Amino acid sequence: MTDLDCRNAFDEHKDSVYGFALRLTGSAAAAEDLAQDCFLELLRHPGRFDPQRGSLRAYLLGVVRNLALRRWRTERRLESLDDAPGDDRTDAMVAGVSMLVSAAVQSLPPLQREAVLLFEYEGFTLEEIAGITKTEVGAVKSRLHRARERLRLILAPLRNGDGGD
Amino acid sequence: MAMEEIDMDSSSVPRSNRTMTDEELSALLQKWEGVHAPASLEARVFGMPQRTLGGWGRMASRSVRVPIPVVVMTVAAFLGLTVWSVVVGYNLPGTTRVPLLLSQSSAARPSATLADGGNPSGSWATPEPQITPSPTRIQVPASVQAIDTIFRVPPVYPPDARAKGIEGTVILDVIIAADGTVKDLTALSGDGALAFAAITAVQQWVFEPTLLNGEPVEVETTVAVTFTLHEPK
Repeated sequence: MTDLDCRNAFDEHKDSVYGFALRLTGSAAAAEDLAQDCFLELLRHPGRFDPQRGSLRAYLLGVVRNLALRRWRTERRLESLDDAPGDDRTDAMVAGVSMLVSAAVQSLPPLQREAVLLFEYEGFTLEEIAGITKTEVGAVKSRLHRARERLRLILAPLRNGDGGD
Repeated sequence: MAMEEIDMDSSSVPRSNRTMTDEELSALLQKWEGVHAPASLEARVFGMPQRTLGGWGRMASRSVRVPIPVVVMTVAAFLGLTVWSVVVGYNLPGTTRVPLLLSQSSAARPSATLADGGNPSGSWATPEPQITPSPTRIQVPASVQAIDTIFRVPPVYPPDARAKGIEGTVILDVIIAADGTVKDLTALSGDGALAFAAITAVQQWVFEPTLLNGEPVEVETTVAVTFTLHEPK
């Protein structure tokens, strides 16, 4: 991958990388740090991307995911990210459906959150998510199922006809 | 799976509603609008020196703000064992300003200057028509430089400090010569005994030379060495 390829990769995927990082962390500052480190990783080690193993976007989001989890573990020293609580931002007073959905997703445990983000927002298949997260398809399916169950409960008031207020 | 135990009693689920389908949930989730990457991201990625710079023709004279990540070396003595871990952290508050004078054409010879001589406002500088011909020292975030370390000598925990239970972090300002060896280093903070041990070790480190448009340059960066008597979890 040449410098020009890296530059084109940045132009093409910067919004996706940053958006995924932002949704994953809930922090603009952290998202920018992660996106920066992600592209620096590509610039420094372009050979680590193997087109045979998936798309460049999947690779980049995988890098973001790994950086985020490493940071999460460092800062919070969690033993199990699958069971760990997410950010407690489910505030009924938050205005706007977008903010409520954001808060609901942010409240998910990190591994469930990333499964939802990669499936619902990034459009990856279960198999692709398994590749990105280096886990089994069954585990991804399970995380997605549990995340959906949780989101159904949290977001139930926002269903059409309920009004959400 | 305690965190997955969701209260399913009637107070949690609207009684009159059927379960939301996957399609309905997906549609609801899409209400969370997407975002665009901030313009500053480009400067943060391409505005700092990489192993090879130039060639894109879009980098002019710029002053960019970058965070000050530090390399944290942890020496843990636990049950007589010394455990090492390298963590790229963001432990220091604030940012540093790094004006970079980069070539816009292959004919121009690039250089970089230290922060305080540049643009105090931190805004984008007007491209300089004249570029200083000789490469000087540049500042590189430690997270970038650390990965290019090709030889490290681990600090030795001072026995007296260990006996007295002294722990702490030593912040070093390190000037790396163009050939990758440590030219100079100064302890900015930390216990005296720990600082001595950190300096003794780090001055033996060898970094992979940083190239600016193919030219090796002198680099100033920050290294933090943390001494702890408890094994990191």
